[in-house]
Amino acid sequence: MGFLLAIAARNLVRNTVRTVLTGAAVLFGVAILILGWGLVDGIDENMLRSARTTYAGDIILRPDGYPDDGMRYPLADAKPLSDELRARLDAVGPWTARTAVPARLVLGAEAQRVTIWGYDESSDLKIFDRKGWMIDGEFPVSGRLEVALGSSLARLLEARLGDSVVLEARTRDGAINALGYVVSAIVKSDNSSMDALGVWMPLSRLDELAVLHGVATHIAVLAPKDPAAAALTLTGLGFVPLTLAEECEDLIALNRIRRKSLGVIVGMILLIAGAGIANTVIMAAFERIREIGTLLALGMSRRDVSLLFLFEGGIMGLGAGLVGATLGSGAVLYFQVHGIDLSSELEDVGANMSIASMIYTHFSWPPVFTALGFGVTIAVLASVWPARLASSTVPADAVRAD
Amino acid sequence: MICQLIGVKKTYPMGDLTVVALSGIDVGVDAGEFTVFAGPSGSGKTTALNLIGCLDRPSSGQVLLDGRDVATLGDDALGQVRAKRIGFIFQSFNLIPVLTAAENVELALRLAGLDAGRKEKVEQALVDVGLKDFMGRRPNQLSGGQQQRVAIARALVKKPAIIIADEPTANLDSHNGEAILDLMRLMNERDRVTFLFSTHDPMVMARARRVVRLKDGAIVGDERMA
Repeated sequence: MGFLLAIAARNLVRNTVRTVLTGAAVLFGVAILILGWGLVDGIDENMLRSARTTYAGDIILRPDGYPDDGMRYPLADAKPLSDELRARLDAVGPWTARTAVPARLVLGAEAQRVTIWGYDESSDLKIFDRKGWMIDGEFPVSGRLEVALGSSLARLLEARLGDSVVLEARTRDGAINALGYVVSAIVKSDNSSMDALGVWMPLSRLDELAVLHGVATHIAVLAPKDPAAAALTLTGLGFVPLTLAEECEDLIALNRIRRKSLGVIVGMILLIAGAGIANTVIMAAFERIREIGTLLALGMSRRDVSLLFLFEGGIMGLGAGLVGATLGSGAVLYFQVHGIDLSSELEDVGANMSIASMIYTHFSWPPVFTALGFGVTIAVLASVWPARLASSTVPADAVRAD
Repeated sequence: MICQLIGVKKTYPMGDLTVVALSGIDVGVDAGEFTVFAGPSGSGKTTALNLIGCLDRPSSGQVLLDGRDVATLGDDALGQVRAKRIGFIFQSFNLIPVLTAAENVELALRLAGLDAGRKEKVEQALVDVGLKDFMGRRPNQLSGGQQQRVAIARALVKKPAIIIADEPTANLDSHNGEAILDLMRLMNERDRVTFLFSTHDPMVMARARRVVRLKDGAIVGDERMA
């Protein structure tokens, strides 16, 4: 067996260029699968991290009937927190309440639709520590008429620190109100949607603008150990709790589709690679017909002749797969540290996607082994028929072939 | 008698026609013979060699090797007979290009399942054919004559019952051809190795001890030289 493997390996270097070109398809297929998988895993992580660190925590609660279609005014359904809910929230873990209010921001002649996030200064930092955010300036405090703008919003309006802006919003009772603020911070958070539309100010300031009557639209809770069980304890109190996984369900489902699409594309690449390998092994069988005849004449069994060609396909698949796995894994590990900056790509779509503009890939071994196994299997399967063809050679004719 | 063809007929289909390559021949080869199957192209000499070498099966008749009819054996069993009992020397040398001279010789031992003292046997076989200093060279680093010597070493190393050589000098110049024939004759005389050739080269026939002449698939002469 070792001798057969040695002959197979040496046969592959007889025509190095052909071997490399044939193996390249396997190499790329394996590398793309690993990189694509790492990227999709990274996007999954990114979406969860983005939601957790900017608005959801481990559990997010919204009022019963809170509109998700933009057709109704959100404050109409907002509710104050009952004492019982507060008690249960305290029992689960750290939490904070926020109120999101749709508004219009005016800067000079420019105006833009925005969402104002009113935050509780005493508890917001306990849930959202803002460590991964890039904050230019000082986050607003309740003593001053200040706001923080999302970085994409600021860029769109060409707003700078110290600029005066006017925010127009409806109060909870339906009146239109407008107040002037100074931009004290420009924020690049982990969430491109919030960066595109978000304006932050303390709840007390938002209360002046929108007359909230103590209502909240979002409650974020930290409960990392068992969020599903914790969420169950928070039901039936006027707010609907969702775990982070439930909150991001649609995006994760979308990623499952991406993963399947990636599998189909890579599958096609590897099938093409299989066809290439089959072609190469057939060519090798025809070119070496006299050699095959000689091996048979010397007493090699047809099974071993078959194995020789299967080994050639397998070694080619394994070699190309290993190089592809190394390249793919290397790229995943590189982007796991350095990230992929999608800022410009998310400019247009970011307003609708809770996703950070820096995507960090995620390395794990299963895709490496899966891709490698798939590549080698395709290579070996592609060699089966050529191997059978080679082993069915008639030695009497083959030993005299030109 | 090492091998014997009894009433052997071999036909090949060619389109709608049937070509008769051997028309029921009877011939045997004894141990220690240095025999040539001679005849023009299409006479059936190569077909007869293929049958004795277990590379092919007869359409009818018996092919006896060591008294056993090998025509009825399956592919794998025939392969084992070839591996253990028959050595081949081909017109085009037929060395495996990715293996060195020593590995080509070793291959024959491996396929015959002769593992004991393999390295020493390989070395001795290559020394016997005058290639002691060329063991690590690949076929493309050897001349035609040297390649044929490696092929002889490969055939000899497993000590087969018979060595079948199909026009072994056809691809060599006369000088190398004579040297190869002298080498084989020496081994025949010194070690009693049985050789069976096919050829139409008068130089080969002149060195043979027995010449079996074939024409149109039939034996037309069988001369033993003094």
